Amino acid sequence: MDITKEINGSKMTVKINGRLDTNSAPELESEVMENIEGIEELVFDLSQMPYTSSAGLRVFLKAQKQMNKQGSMSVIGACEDVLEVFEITGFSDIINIA
Amino acid sequence: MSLLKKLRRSLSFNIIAAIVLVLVFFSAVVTTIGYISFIHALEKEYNETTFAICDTAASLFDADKLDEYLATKGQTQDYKQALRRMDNLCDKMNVSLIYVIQVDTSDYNSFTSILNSINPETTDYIRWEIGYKRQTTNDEYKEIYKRLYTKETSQEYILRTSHLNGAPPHITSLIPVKNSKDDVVGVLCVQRPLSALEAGRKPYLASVAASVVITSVLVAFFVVNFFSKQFTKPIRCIKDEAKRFSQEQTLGKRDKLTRLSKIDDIEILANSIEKMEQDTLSYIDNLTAATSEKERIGAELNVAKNIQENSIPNTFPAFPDKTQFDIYASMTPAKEVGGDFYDFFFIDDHHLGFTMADVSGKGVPAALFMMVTKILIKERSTISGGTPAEILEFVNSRICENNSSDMFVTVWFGILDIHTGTVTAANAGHDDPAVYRKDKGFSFFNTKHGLVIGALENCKYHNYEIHLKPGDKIFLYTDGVTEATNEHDELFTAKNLLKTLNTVCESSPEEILKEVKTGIDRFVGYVPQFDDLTMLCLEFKGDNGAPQKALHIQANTANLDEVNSFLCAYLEAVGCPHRAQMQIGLAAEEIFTNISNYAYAPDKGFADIRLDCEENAVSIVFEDSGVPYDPLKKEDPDITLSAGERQIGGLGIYMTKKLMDDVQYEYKDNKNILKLIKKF
Repeated sequence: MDITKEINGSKMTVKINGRLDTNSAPELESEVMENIEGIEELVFDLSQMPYTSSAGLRVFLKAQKQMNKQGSMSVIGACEDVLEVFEITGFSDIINIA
Repeated sequence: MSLLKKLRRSLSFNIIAAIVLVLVFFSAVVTTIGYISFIHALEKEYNETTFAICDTAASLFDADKLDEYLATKGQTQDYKQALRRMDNLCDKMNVSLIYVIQVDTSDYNSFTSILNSINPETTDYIRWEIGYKRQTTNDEYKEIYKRLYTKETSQEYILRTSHLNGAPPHITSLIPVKNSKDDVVGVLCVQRPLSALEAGRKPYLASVAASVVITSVLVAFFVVNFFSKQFTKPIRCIKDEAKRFSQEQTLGKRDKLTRLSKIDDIEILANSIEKMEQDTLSYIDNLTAATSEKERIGAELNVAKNIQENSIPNTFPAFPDKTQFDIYASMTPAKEVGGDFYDFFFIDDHHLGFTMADVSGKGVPAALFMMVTKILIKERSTISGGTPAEILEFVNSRICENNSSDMFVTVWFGILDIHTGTVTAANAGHDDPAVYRKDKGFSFFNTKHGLVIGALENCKYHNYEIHLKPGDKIFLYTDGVTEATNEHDELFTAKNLLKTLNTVCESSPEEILKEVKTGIDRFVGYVPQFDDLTMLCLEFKGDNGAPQKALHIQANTANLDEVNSFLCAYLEAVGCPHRAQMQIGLAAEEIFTNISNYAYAPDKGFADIRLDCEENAVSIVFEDSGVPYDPLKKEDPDITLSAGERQIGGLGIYMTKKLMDDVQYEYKDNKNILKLIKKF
């Protein structure tokens, strides 16, 4: 899994390339949490992420909790499989999915 | 055989001939002794009488006048009177001859006759006239004359007991003629026929011979009769009976051999023969009974051998439709039935139980014990399941319940997961198996042993695992292999076994076993073996070709990719749609991650993942030996809460339940078993 992040002022766009699983989630977590300070708009580009497990969801939830305090978070480009996961877990209700 | 030869071999003939010979010899000796005594007595009698006649004759003339008689040529009255008296004596005394001579003492070779009387009735001698000179008859007379003249002896005699030169037997007595000065001046000789001998000898001999012959015949008759009655006939009777018995082998007529003879030895012989017949018959009966009993036991043992052989799987290949492994085993009992056994059987579709055991002792007791053990292991495994340790504990407790014979059995029992190659095993005092690893060869897989089964109640056994990769093999054996003995009393040893195994480790299980057997046969040579020889070899081949259905892997999230590719390969192969594949993959990751993080914490352990597909449904089974944990009991997270209220975590199991069609949990054989089912 590759992570490309783009910080534009107070907006950070994180693009995930590949599967987000138990092993790759900690990398995403540290990448996001280290740079989240001062960010008001966080965007996850999931167009190149075919798969996420609960470990990935943990990262999204943790980021959402943080962004609730300092701005907004949205997810874009999620594929059908990933969307299903969000649906099942009720994440579609708490995360802004565009 | 000629009659003579027959006679010479006949007992009676030999006895009679011997008796007759002895009697003839005896008669000859008796007759000879009698005859000699007879002659001797006669001789003595004659001798004395003749000397008396000599003395009488000597008194008939005057010894001082011998020279005068010669000078006057017997013309004196004195001489004529002396001669007349001597003739008279000769006649009256029935003497053949009386003479007086003067011997030429210069050489005793000649003599001159002085007086000579002849009895014409008893001899045909012619009277020597006075002065008649003649040569001494022979040297015998010459010596006698000499002795008489020299006064060496005072009387001499010559005895002729048989006819000599026509003369009948006679005695010739000689005495010296002495003058008044006691000088020897002549020799007086009286010859007397042995008429009494002549007359008495023949009757004597005839009577002696007759009495001896009669006695001999009588003795022979009685002896022969006695021998025949007491000896020959009984012996013949015993001989006939012995001959009859040797042909018919039945008891003879009752009392046939009793009171045969008054001779103890014959009686004892007869009784012994009779007893021997009875003993032989009873011995034959016993032997017949023992032989038929032995045959019956032999036949029963043969049946037992068949039962035992057929009670263990002995058709190979044993599971032709199973490509995941190859198994081969052989059992060579030292006796008809043995105490060793191997066994293998499917516990379920994925698990093969296989065992190797050795009962103490051999033969029928060991075989019975073996059957009990074998059945207990198999039935317990296939009916109630359980781990090898649990199964051995169960078998041990059952055997200890009624083990009055103090026998025991060493057992190695393993369960192979035919998809993962994992062998879970427990060892009750048995030899460690040899395990072959690809490119590394065979080596012994040493572990701690439990106690032999049947020794102690409530024994605990421990499971251990051997992980076989495709191509790996496991070789089990009993001590009949390592303790095969050669002529120098040397053992084959485990070292030799390993060496032999490694020369053929690339071969199939069947070839490996055959090669080991050949190696042992070559080692022991002609020495007979006293222990059973049992071996088993299993080669794990894996699901090669076919998609791998099981994975034995260390529970570590680092192995997630391997789990994922294992899943993808199988699901792809069974035609699982992509979407379902992703969902299964997701669920699998959640479960595997949970096992990795919590099941063995803080240690590490293994997880088994087994896949199966039926119709349009895939089952995924996770097994771990970690702490018992039922994830289904965990409460579902409330997914309606806002992000701020939501707990981080707890979503994995929830997602799994949502994505799968069924999730079942059980804790069995010390294992957490979680089964996921996904339809597509």
